[in-house]
Amino acid sequence: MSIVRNLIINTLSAAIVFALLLLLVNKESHSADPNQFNRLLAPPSKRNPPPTHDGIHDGPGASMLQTPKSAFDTLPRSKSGNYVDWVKSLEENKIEPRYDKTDPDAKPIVMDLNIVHEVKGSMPNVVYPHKQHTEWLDCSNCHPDIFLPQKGANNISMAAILLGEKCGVCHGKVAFPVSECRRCHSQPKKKSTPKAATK
Amino acid sequence: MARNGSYMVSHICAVLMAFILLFGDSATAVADIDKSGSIYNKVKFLDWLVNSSPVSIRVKNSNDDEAKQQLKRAREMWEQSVEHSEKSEYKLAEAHINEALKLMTGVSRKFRDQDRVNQARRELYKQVKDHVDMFVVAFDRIAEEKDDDHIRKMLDRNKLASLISSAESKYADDDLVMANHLMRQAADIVDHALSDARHEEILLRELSFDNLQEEYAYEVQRNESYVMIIDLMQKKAATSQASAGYVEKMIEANAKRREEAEVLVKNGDYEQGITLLEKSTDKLSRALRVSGIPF
Repeated sequence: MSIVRNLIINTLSAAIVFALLLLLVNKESHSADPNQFNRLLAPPSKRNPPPTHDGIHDGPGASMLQTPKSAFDTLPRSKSGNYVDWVKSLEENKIEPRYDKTDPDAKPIVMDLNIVHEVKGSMPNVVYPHKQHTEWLDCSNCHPDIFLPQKGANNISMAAILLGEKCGVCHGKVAFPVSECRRCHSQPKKKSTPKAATK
Repeated sequence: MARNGSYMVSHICAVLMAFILLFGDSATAVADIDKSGSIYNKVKFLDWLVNSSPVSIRVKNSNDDEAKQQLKRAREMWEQSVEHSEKSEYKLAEAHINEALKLMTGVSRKFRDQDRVNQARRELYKQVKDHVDMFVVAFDRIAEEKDDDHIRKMLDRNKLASLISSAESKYADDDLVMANHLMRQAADIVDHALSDARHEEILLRELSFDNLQEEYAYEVQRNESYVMIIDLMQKKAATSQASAGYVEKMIEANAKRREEAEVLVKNGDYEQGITLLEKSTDKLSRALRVSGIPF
């Protein structure tokens, strides 16, 4: 009888250890899985799910929220992501985001500065337009937590973006996804790709 | 002819009537189902709000009779909304839900978790203060780079110092609302100054490497990015079956080239390692194009 009991206890212990290990392994692999972040790359049949099924909202209030389908219906369309052209929506006054939650009359501080990032290979260089971003967002939404406001201080790579860091904090989640390459890689190259000084 | 015409009109009317009866009814039925689902969700939320939410518990444990009375009324409204929704009286149910929500909003404002609110205010203050400090440094750097008095004057340093000092004093007195308000004003001054100093500029971040090791690391990262994008496209955007085989071959070939590049680098030949990775990444780029991604 005691042999059977020991066998059951040992089997159960082994199962628990195995489950914990599995959990650890899964946790590690998730942290490096771009599929965890880029939810806006869902196929058209799964686009814009209701708040109760979008994997973001929870709690009893989620079901009270307006569904994206009804909220986005009248907004200008884009061909990917959540299928809304947000920049156009703002330009055409289809949306009026409140700049300050306590002051409805507060106006955004728009910064008209473009930053061009040179890249290697066949892809055009990246143009980051502050204007379109600051018409909606506050400087502190990105600086200094996501990007340090200093030349050369930010190591931006597509790998980081795909993992939900840097531009990927928004792009792929709420703003257009990484499949829209040419919206960022938009400046054709004029000269040959720079090489290392020592080469 | 006129008789034929009236027959035609009556026929069209009959068809239209039938259409309205058929589809008009089903449209109403669909609207009813939508409505019942929406009311059900609201009633469910209200149930939680008036019976088990943290604010309802705080009110229950308090000595505030007025708030207790408000909570009681909100509960009655919720009960009535349940009754009405069971009888499919959606408009009445909704009216009771809205009334209960208004009552609970008032109660929530009165009975908020002050510790949590203050903690959030302190965090916000710190965040905005960091933002001000960092942007002042950025502004100084720009002014120095441009060496222009006009730029230097864009930041009203006296006003900024005064606002920061007042904010710090309010923060020390635990007047967190005013402290945040003043620090926000300070942040706006710096943001405006930076925005003016950089108006309509284009900054070029050139790609340059200090040594071959750095360039090789960049190439590895670039190659890895392509591998990740291809994986993402295959899993999420469902690339075409026709191109799947070709893409798979490219991925396998890329893995081999990555290993070869590692061997080259281990033997000190960074230049060859970089060239090999460049070529391999180009092929991945082609594979992406084939699978329909406009690279």
